[in-house]
This record gives sequence, structure tokens and C-alpha cells, in this order.
Amino acid sequence: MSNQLPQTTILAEASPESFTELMNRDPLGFTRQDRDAIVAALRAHRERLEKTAASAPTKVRKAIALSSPADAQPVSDEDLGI
Amino acid sequence: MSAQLPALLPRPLNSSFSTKLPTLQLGIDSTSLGEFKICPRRYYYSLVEGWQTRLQSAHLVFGIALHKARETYDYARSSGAGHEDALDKSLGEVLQSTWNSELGRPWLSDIPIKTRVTLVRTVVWYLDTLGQDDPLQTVQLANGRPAVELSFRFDSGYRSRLTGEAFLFCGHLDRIARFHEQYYIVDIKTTGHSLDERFFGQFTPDNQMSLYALAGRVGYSIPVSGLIIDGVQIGVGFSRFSRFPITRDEAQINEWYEGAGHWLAQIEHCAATGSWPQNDKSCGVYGGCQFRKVCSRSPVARQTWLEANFTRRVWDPLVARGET
Repeated sequence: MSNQLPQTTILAEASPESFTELMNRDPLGFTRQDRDAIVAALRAHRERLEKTAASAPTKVRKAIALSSPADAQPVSDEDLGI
Repeated sequence: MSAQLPALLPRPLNSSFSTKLPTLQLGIDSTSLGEFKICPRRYYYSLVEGWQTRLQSAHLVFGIALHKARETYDYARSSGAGHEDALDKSLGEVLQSTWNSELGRPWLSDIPIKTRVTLVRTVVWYLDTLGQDDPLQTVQLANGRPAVELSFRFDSGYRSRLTGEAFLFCGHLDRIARFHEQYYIVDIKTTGHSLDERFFGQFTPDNQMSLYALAGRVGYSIPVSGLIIDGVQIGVGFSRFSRFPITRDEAQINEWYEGAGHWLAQIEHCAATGSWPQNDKSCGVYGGCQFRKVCSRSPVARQTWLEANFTRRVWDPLVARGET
């Protein structure tokens, strides 16, 4: 029988400090809550990056060009979830 | 004239080599063929003799962990787990595999963009982007397993003129996925550069992709329509993803196949003569050959250098994944 405390489903605070601390701890003893905190920190980081990118001046990116019209048949980036 | 290399230590058992001519590889994967195309001597050291550097490259650790993460995720999803639970399994796997329990510290990388933190970030963001609601649905095999890390082998149609044995083409595919009732081989490729035309252009022509395209035609019962690259750009502070189709028509596959016959004949010639020439125009490509310091020494000093700085392993592409 496990004597561990029941785990909460509430995400741990995803601060940069806790992320760094978790990345330097032996993951063998991690709980789901620890891993959720890592995921939450990384998602928050991504959100911040995307907000920054969205508010930055637009830079025209060269679109990926397919080598021939025939190449475009199977799938497009949009179709594939990008 | 023959310039044979000195007989080295007995080689570990490797089922991909001939029993009649022990330096002749018969089970050929894209890595083996690619190494020979780059340089016969490099192929000899890395595949025939099995030498590798003592320190595993950060690129390799990162690549293996990322592929394993996708595999773990697909297994979890195929057994009914939702995205968050499958991601959790995947993350747990990555965290464990990059923790050095003997030293009580995380894996340390010498490449700033390929560290434990950038790996974990890439896995989470990649699976959030191209795992959850992925339009490329991983195929479920008849045995109930997802079609990930699939090993293939088939008769190449070429035979050794010396031993009469068949050359087999073999390898391992990341994943086969279905999209609009068509099947695609999906391969993850990482880069530090932009996911642009130049990046995706490097896969046509490309030894690995051409072999995979051929395998897709003849190696499986599933009719594979093409290949798709999951491109992963990794920076110090970000990871980006893009997908791109790779096509090979019948004529392109035939052209690669004919070329492969030429290369197999050369492999056989080198094995028969014991002469594996250096291609000294390749020493600096792909970031520099790991054996450059060996080849830069006098032939009489190379063995000592190899034994001091390298270790041996068996690269046996005929062993299916999960059997080692």
C-alpha cells in the first residue's frame, strides 16, 4: 500500500525558479505534479515568445517553395497542422 | 597492387556481415551505404571495425531522445491515453534518459542548442504542435501496435559476385502515418538552421530518403505514397517546427537503385582486396570526420591512436529495434 499523499490536480506554480530546480533534480522521485510544472513553465515560455513575436515589427519571411507544382500534391503545411 | 590494412583485433559478431568474406557487409542500411559513399576508409573504421568516439555526441543523444519521445507518445496514444497523459509519459522518459544517476546530475552537453533543457522544451512543444490533433494519424498495425520505429529488410536484388550471397536493404523507419487515406513515412530531422527551402532541399537527392522511398514501395504491405519530414529547428531560446513532403517518382527511385548497385560492387571490391581508400576530399565535410586525427597519422601509428581514443560497438542494421 502506498503511503504517499494524494496528488493534487492543481498545477504547481510554474515559475522559472521551480523549472530550473526541477531540471536539476533526480527525476526518479518526480510526481505527476512535478512534470506538470515543467510542462506549464514551457508552455508559458512559448506563449510569452509568441506574444513578443506578434507585437514585433513584421518581418517578411521567405516562404518555403516546393520544387515543382507536382511536389505540392501530397500535403501542404496548413493541411499538416502547421 | 594491393595496399591492405593491417589485421586488427577480432571484430565483434555482426549478423549483417558475410560469413564467407567477413569484411563484406550484406545487410545494408542508409547509414552504412552513406558512410561508404562519403569515404571508404571512414566506412571501414566505423562499420567494418566498429570504432566510435568514446564520448557520445550531443547530436546523437538529443536525436535518440527526441525520437524515443515521439515513440513513447505514439504508444501511449495508441493504447488510449489522451494528449496530456501521453505527453507526461514521454516527458518522464526523456527526463530519465538524460539523468546520470551514477553521477547524480543531468546529462551535460557541449553544444549550446542541444542541452537537456532545450531537449525537454523541444519535446513538449513538438508534441503540443505535431502530436496533439495531428492530421497525420499513426497507423495501427494488425498486432495492435502503432507503426513506429519499424524495422524493414528486403532482398536488394543484388548478389555478391564473390560469395553468391544476397545483399539486403534494411533500416528503421520513425513512423508510418495515414493522411487522406494515403500512407506516408514520417521522419524527424533536427537542425540549428531555419526550416527553409535550403533545409528541406537537402533531402532530394538523399541516400536515406531514397532508400526509405524504395522500402515504402517494396518493404511493407502498406502502399506508401511518400515521405514527410517533421523539421525541428532548435535555438538556444526557442524551438520551431515545420512539415514538408519529400517526393520520389519511379524514375528517381530506379536511378538511386542503379547507383546503389554500383556502390555495392565497390564495397565488395574493397572487402575482397582489403583496401579501403581514403577520400581525402571528405575529411572536412559534415562538421569534420571523426577519424581525421587517425588518418592524419602515419599508418603505423593509427592502431594505437584508435585504441586510445575510440571504443568499439556493433552497428548491425539487421537487428530489429527492440531486440537489443
